[in-house]
Amino acid sequence: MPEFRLAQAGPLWLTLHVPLSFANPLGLLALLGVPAVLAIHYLQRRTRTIPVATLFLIEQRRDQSRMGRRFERLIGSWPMWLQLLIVVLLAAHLSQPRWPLAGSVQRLAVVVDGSASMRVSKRDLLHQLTTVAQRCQSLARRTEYLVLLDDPTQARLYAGDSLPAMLQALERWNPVGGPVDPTPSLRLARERVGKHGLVVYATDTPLEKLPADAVLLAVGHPLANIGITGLSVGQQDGQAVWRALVCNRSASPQTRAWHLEWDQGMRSPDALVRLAAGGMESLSAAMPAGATRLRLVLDKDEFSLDDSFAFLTPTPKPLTYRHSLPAGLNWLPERLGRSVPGMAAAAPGMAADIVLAAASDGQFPTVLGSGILMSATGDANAKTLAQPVVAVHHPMVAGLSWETLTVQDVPMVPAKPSDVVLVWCGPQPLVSLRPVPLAEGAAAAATPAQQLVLHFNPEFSNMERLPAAAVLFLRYCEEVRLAKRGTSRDQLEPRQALAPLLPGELHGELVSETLDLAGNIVSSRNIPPNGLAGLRAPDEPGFLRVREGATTLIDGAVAFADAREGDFRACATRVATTDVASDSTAGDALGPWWPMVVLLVLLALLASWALIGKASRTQTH
Amino acid sequence: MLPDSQMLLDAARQAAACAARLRLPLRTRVWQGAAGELAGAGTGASMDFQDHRPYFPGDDPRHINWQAYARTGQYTMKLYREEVRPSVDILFDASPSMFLTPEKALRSAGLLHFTLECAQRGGAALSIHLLGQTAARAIEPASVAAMRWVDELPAATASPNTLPDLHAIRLRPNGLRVWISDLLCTGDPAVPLRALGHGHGSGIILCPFAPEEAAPEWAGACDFLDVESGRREARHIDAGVLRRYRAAYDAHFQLWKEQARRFRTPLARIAATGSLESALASGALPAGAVETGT
Repeated sequence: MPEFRLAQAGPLWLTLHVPLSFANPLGLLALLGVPAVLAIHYLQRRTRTIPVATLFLIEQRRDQSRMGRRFERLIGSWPMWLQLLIVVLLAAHLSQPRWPLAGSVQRLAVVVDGSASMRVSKRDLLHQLTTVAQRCQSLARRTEYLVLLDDPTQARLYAGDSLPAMLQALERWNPVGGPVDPTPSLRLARERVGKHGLVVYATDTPLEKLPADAVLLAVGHPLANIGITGLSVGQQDGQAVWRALVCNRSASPQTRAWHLEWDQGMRSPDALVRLAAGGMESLSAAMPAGATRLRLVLDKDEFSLDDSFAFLTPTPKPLTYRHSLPAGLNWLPERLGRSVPGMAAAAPGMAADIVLAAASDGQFPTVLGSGILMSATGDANAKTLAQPVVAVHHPMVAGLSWETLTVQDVPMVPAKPSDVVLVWCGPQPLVSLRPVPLAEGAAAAATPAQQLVLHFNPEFSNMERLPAAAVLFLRYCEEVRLAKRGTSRDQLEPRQALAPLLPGELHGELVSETLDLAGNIVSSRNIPPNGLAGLRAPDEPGFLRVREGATTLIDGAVAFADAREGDFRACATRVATTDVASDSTAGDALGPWWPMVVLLVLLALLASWALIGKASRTQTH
Repeated sequence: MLPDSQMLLDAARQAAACAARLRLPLRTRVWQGAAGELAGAGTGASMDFQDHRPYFPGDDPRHINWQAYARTGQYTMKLYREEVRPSVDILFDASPSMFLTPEKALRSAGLLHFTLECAQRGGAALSIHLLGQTAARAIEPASVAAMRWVDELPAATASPNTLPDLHAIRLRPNGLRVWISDLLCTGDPAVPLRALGHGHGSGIILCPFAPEEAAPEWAGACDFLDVESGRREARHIDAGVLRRYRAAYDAHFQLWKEQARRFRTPLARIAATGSLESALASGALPAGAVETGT
């Protein structure tokens, strides 16, 4: 990584806004010759003692002082002035001053680390960026700025030629994300500014190597941060209990006070949690009766995002099922009702969300909506299929192991061409997803329902004991739940995309509202149908509601839960930038005058020698 | 630096050689005093005829002009010039500034010996006073001739450059007062000049000077040591300071010359460079402080 050649060379020019830069700022170190020359003359120049009888005729000084004597030993020597001139000219020659060319443009692209930890360092970032930007201003008549996030999918923060506007954009920016590889954004920034532009990666955690000739601007600093790393609500002894983990990310023991607050001004007494250096502690308590919106609060520190955790009383969107399975398969609806939160058998006469049905005579019964269909044929003495069982790459079966699934080698229900087979055994499809044709009058944008098809009879397989099967059924139920129209109570993260949480079929314009702890609306905005992609959770922790008319679709709590961002131990400040002067923007300020400069140096050298020789002869005489 | 024996020997030798050609202006004036070798202001018994006057009873009949009596029948007296012995008071400034450089010390000593030589050759009654910074001391002329006068110099003491009090010195009336001094002191020149002319005396000032004083080549940082007061002063000398110093130096001596002219006291500035004779010829002769011996 190119090092900043002389970061200290700029402040004077930056302050004075003199558009002058140096191709080799290290050359300015030659100016150290100035004090050297002064020191040499000071030490060499001894005062002569002159006996006189006419002291009363020498005019008396007005500035007579004791300290004047040492200072005067440095005054009035032509050789000294000439040698100082030589030093200055040499420094100018070595540092190669550059003057911006007419019409030149210097481009500065800043890729900022969008992780939440950057909130702490934003002020330092603005300060350092101002310095870098002012230095760029000295290189060209015009400067263009581009500010990107390290996540290339995010919109740019600023593009233009106004430094104050750029700083304002960064001032308004609230980072909430997690760590992202900045390489794509850095390459994009390099493409945008060209080879002569400056690409700066602003972060709080120094990196050793950066692509695209980017220079590092690390503005972080280690921080003793105490924060909530996660919270869950579960059941204990038939009672809802919340449990939170608090982590001490510092090298010293810490003590923090905490309390729980909920709904309309309710608040628990303060309690203390003591954390060992780098340790974690668990906090837990029963959910307050009747509480809906809750917030766990720790004492504030510099990084406040993880000092509170907003959550809701978990109330899953209800799911119902109905089955018409043979007795040998009754274990399946029974386990679904026991394992899937909010799942229950449909009341008689009511439509079920999921229908479980078995095939008879090689044909599945007609099921209009979501359902789990399976074969009912089989024989206890039939052989099992010997070919290996493999799964395709599909979210529904991702990460699941099917190798141990044993299925009888009996005639199975064939797959339809529209089926998406998830699990194969040789050429035989075992599990597939079957899309259900949309009913007439359904919205075109509505997501079609899918049925989970088991082409074999689970009764004569080991599917009941197979973990992958349990996960598959759970995933399917959750997908059905997601598509079901109703109120979804979700735990969200800041800026989380909300579109995937919405039911597939929407009828009107959505309204996104942020709520306070009591459920009062803090802010509200309408979401047009084509704006669903931009519908995200708020940047700040709190509570959220998305409704369609009077129907609440999402009732969520937003809490920061990225434990990596709360760890500031690797943060540091490292300003490594480079010489950004380039031929495209700046011309050699002394270019036409170099022969004159060299001539001046030689003349000064000769004159200095001559004067020193003359002075020496005079002294001798 | 005080002159050593070799320097005194050189000074005496130069003074003797110089006194053969130049002398103090003893003969251009009419003196009063004891009988001596120079023409006095009154009538006396010398060989030089001065005037005639009618005879009065009681006149010495030896001086009756008998030839005139034969022609006119009237007694007429022949008057002859008086021959007197002038008195010369040598006032030698023995302050350290007179010996600032070896050249100036040699010249100061040379002037003392020259004055002494001239006075002795003119048959003058001599008295020599060494003027120290705070006191004066009378010494015997033999002490100068024997080159022991340096040993009798008043002890040097640190004191400001002020004019000596010549009134405090008993100067003989009707005498010639030769003041050998570099005049590098502060004060009103009229005061010593008036003292020189006190008692119908006449004064001569022989003023040695060194080129280091008149046209110094100081430059840069200088640590000046005042030889009179012992005071030190560090100064940075540039062309401007040097120019103003020379102007002050010239003005100082211009004031002395004007005052000396007012009191009819020849003031001769004698350079410390070159031979004593050439220095006197170029400095003292035009000022009337010395005259040629022919």
